[in-house]
Amino acid sequence: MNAVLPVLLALLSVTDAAFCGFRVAAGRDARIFKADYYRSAIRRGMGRGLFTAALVGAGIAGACLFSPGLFPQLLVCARAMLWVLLPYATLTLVGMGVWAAAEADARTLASVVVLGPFTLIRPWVIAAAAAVGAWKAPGFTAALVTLAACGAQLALEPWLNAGMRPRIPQVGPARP
Amino acid sequence: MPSDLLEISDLIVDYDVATLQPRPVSRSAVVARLIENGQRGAARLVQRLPASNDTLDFEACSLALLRAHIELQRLSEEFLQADRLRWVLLPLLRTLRDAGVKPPLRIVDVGCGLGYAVRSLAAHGRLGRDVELIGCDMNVTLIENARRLAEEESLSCELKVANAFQLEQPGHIFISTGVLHHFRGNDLNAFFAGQRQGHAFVHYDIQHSVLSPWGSWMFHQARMREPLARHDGVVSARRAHPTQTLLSAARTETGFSCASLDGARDLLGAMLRPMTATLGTRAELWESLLGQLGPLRSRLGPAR
Repeated sequence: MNAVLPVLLALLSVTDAAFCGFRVAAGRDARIFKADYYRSAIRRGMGRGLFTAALVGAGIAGACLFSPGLFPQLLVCARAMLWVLLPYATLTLVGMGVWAAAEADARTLASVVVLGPFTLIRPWVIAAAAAVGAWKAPGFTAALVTLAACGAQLALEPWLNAGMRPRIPQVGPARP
Repeated sequence: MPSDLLEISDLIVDYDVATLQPRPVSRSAVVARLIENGQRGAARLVQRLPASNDTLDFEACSLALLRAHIELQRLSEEFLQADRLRWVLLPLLRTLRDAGVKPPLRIVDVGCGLGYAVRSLAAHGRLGRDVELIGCDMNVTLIENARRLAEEESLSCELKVANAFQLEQPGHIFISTGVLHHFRGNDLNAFFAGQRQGHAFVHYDIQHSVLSPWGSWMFHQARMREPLARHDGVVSARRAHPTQTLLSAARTETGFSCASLDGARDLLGAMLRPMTATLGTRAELWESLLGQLGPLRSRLGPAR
């Protein structure tokens, strides 16, 4: 059980990063055939997500070396955070599944009811998870680590977004 | 009643219709017009656009419009707009072939913007070898980019800076996506009147519903980055025409048999189908089309 919660959070973090990678690329390329473009964007998101998760994990491991009681406290925070994050993640994945597999109206419904609004509330969900985790934290350091980890996750999308530009073929006068 | 709010994209670039050269647009005049219309937020957005000697920078405005259209394509992709068009076009084309209309059958996208619909139909449509896809728009920058995109992917479609109703070879089927709400009153009538020359039309636009502006706001916040796109997206939803207005204008001006497709009868309908189509054919083709529509027939509103 000790390993399950951190691994689960890391998985959620990398999955979220993959979605962020897709989102920052979407709406920036007007070609019709762009599966490779999206695959590469998702890989970029996952890569940075893995890097962030590894960095946060290493930081937490380092902190736990100096403070042996910290890890059990962080597990309490992680459990509290998952009460917020898991329903959100489950519904998002179900929405994605419907969008990927179902017929047009069901896909639209998945977009309208889940994928669109859940994109909008994502920062608030992470902030809520951070608040709940910090609230439940048995110690100040655990609360601080929880907030910092959630902050890193929130910073992922702006990081991925940095430097992204629309792919514009050319601007200029056209032949009539 | 649909709102009379103004869309920024309609105001910030202007072309001479005869020469297709850009005409200077006064920033202060646009700002004043928006303020007069009670759109202070939109006025602030325009105020931030670059200008020299009060003339809006054409390149910067064109780029903003281009970015907005690229983002808009993402929404069209998410809501499967090209697929929805194809599902209606296939039976329409069968109807025209059965009626002996001489090929090539020309599908003309009116106000095609970046040409997403025609490019996507060219890529995936499987409409038949006897079909020509033509996208028309008066915005030179958008068409130039649409052409480059089509060339890049070797897509078989034409993109023209032209009035869709004055083509040398007139269209058989006129289509559009998200264009109808731009027209009001006589302009809406003129839009449909231009299609008398054709055999049929399918015009998709945002569903007129109390939910539409909220849904549009949510999706434009979640999916769009360009402030202009976020503003105009919500205004578009508020400007959407009720089905009856569209059907009445279409019927009166073309004399075609017309019906709405996917018109929402309740809130769930508006959520399932955020876009609705106004569909029409020459009266003599209507019965044949109904026979070709298959399951789509149950989604048609009453014909007028």
